Amino acid sequence: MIDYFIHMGFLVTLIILAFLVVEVKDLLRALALFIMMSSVLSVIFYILGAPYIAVFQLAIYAGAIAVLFLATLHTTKGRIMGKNLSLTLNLILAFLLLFMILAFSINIIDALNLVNPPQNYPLEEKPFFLWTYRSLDIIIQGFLLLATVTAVGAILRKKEEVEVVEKAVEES
Amino acid sequence: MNDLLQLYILASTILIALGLYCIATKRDLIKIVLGIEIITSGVNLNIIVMGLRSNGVEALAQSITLISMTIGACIAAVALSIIINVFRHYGTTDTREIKRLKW
Repeated sequence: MIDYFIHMGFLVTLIILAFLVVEVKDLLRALALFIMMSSVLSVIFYILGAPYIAVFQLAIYAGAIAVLFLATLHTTKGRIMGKNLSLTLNLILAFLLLFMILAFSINIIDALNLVNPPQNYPLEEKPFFLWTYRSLDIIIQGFLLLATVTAVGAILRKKEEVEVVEKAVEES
Repeated sequence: MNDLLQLYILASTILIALGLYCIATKRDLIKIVLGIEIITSGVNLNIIVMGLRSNGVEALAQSITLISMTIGACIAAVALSIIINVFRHYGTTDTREIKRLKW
């Protein structure tokens, strides 16, 4: 029964954070809340019995995508980067960070017996499937990443200076 | 187990609805991309919950979620680079002003 309430608590936290991401007007704060939301989601994946997905969720969503958003914010709205976060938001951030560290610490979870992991936890079998029979997936993902890098490079390339050439043609 | 499953499906549905609401109502392009990422997170949670069994999450569901995460990251990268390009061209990321300032 206590498991049910813990799962429910995490889910309610997740939905509240998602709602705040949508409704908070300051984009930097929205991004901070998005990072917290991704971290809570990774805790949920962990307690559901998918530790690899939890690690990837943290690395990709709370790490890589957050850095991309930060770079975009810095480019488009440089002025908001200098703002200080309020004391309340700092306290919420610190509390959630502490909570996540506690939740991720396997020893503490075991010691408090808060969340029972699923029975017959097949940590030995999962990596075999996840990494052995996935060559096609990995090729597809590599192609996807290559296509993305090419697309981003093409979108962000500098425009060629056409005017100079036109002037030279006119003069000649 | 069944109650938990329903709870998680409800949560993922709420996440997807929140993302759609964000896309439909917000006017900043960066907020819209955040909404897309929230939808992706909801879909990932749904896939994992659908693969939930008594002895853990199925490996196939985990594998599909990994692919979904990669696609989500690629979407974010391309969308954010388009936003930077739009900002270079128009000087704003507000959709109302972009609509007004045509080529």
